Amino acid sequence: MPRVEISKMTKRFNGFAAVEDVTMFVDDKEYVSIIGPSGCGKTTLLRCVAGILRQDEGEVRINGKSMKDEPIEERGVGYVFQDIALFPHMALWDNVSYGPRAKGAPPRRTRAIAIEMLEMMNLSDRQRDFPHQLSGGMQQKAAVARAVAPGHSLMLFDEPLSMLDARVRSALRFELRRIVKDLGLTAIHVTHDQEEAMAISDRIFVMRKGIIIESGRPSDLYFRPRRLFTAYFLGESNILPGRVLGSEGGRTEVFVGRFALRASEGSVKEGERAVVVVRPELVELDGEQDENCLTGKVRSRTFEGPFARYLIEIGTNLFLKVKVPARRGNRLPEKGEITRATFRWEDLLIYEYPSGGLNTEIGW
Amino acid sequence: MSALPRIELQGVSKRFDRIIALDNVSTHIDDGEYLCVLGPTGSGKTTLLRSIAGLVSPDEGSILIDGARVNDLPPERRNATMMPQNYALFPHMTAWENVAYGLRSKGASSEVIAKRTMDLFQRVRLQDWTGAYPNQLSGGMQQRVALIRCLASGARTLLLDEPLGALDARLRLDLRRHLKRFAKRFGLTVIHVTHDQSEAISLGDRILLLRHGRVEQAGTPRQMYFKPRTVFAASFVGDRMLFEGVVTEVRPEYVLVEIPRAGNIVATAQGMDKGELVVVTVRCESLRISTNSAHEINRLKGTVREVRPLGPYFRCAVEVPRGPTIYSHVPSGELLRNPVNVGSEVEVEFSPKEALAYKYPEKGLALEVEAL
Repeated sequence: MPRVEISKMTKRFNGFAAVEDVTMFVDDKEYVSIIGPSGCGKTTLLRCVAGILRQDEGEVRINGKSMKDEPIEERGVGYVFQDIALFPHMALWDNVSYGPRAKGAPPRRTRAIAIEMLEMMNLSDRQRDFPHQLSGGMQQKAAVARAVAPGHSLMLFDEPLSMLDARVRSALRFELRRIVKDLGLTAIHVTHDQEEAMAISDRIFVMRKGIIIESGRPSDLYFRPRRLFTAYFLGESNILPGRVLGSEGGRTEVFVGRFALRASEGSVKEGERAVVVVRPELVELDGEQDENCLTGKVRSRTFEGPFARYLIEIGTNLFLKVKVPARRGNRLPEKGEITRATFRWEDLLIYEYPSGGLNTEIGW
Repeated sequence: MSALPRIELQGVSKRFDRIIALDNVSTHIDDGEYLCVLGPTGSGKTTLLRSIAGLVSPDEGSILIDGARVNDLPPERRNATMMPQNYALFPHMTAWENVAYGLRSKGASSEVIAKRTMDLFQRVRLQDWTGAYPNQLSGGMQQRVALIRCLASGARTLLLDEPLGALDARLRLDLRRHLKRFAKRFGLTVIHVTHDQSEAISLGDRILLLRHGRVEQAGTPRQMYFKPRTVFAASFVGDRMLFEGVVTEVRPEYVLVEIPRAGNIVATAQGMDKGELVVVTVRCESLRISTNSAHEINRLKGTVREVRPLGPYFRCAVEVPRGPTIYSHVPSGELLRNPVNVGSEVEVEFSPKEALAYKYPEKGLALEVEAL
């Protein structure tokens, strides 16, 4: 039995459907995230699960039980949002033990929970500190501890890391996942940050304009997205228009600019317009492979730490972004040089050309 | 163009009550340069920016713009404009009115206003959007309108305080590049404050890393990335593993370091003594996973515990038996061709050139790098 079942949920504000007919399941001990651009409805969806908002249609079931008439405090969920929710006048210890105590847990049990929580968060030696004495990252960890302490096994995270410094944010991602997994919790995590979603979750739901358009494991969504919007939103992509020549043996032949390329099989028919997608880091420059080969002039080359970013002009108004790992040993082309850009056919994905135009499909 | 630095700070200090926000900061920004001021929350980077803008007056030191001391000049006479984080476009005014507003308040004639405003809109290719209200524009368009509004008054220096902070992560990536192109096209001098090291690396001609109100290190992105001067700088710029150990042998340019429960490694260091406690840092992408290493040194054996895709690279966790867990970043193109399997026994190897040793910080490593 899934821990959380959301079925046919719709939530409107003044007639505008912020969440529209959403059905999704979250398994026990699963860590899922919901990503999408701002205004896509992800926070509204989470608030309906928490009971902060009431949906207009559909149902939420937690542990098989309908939440229809269940108020927030009876749903057994911990909620953490981006503003850190700690009592400023209470030491860390009191903040963390507040929940169990308020629920009437005996002192010994409350103490045991607080010790366990603080140990889990690596905050034991800061238990006497007040929130303002802790760094932002520590405060947010403490807020998670406080939300988990009353015994909640379902956690709802609403952009919990977005107020933190980039460096703290990326460290805390892995911490948060570790904590949820070590405690055997189920979590739904809402974020606009695709890298955070990939780092933290077992499964990702992509939401756009109130609808869940796709879900899957991080690697499947990143390397094999079924929807063009996912390819655009989750990480960086080259998105190029083309036309299908035909397909054979599980591969589709497609014309992009002046190049004939082979893509993994799609549903686009011969002669039709298509959109092809390849990740910038899966393209090699002046490498040995020759399956899909484009040539062009290096327009720019920028240092970006672990990768060098290239922009290759492969046709009139047609550019290919390439990210070359800095650790790659051989000589790399300079600005102005002609280079060969190659990639595997299975890394070239093909989609139907959107009927509303490319910009409508991948914008928001 | 003058040979003078466009902006110069000489021994600038600023206190707020008991907090020292800036502590004797000296630096300069050249004409047409894109400087990223990087640092954690509370490092003084916003105070630095606001001091240049004239919104904060330093307790000590001088701020010079084009060679002239501007400490006593009001913000509007400094020829340096600050763009607020959320752009602060007037919502009830059209894009055109927003841009023309600055000129109008300076008392320009309506002819001059119209000509200059149109010129700016054309240069950012928004001439068809002059009648739109801010909420009818995309995030990228709003940013362009906010930028040309800053320029409308004739300012050649742009001060940006976390200009991408309020945006979706996805949009942030696109707008980064627009920002840099915009600055270079208009020949602007830019000071850009950020806490995001990857933003600083990909945008800055130079980076100024601040910490506790002081300059920790200044240099080009490459210098900051490959040659961090301190453990803090190393931990702040790029993703790195930090190993604690003891120097057991000293050679010219290299030291042999014993890492408890992991083994010996050869690291680059100068001026270290035998027996000294050190921290060795290695960038995560320099830690290579192999199953049949040909190298004799800097090989750590372990078991792969997790392989997590993070987009352009995979983060592989390799656990050394009873020792540290090492995080290696493997480029996705490489990993898809040569998969790394969870549970397999591997070696993690790295070049002595990639391993940088620093003296162990006095107050302890965790406090020094301000870890979680």
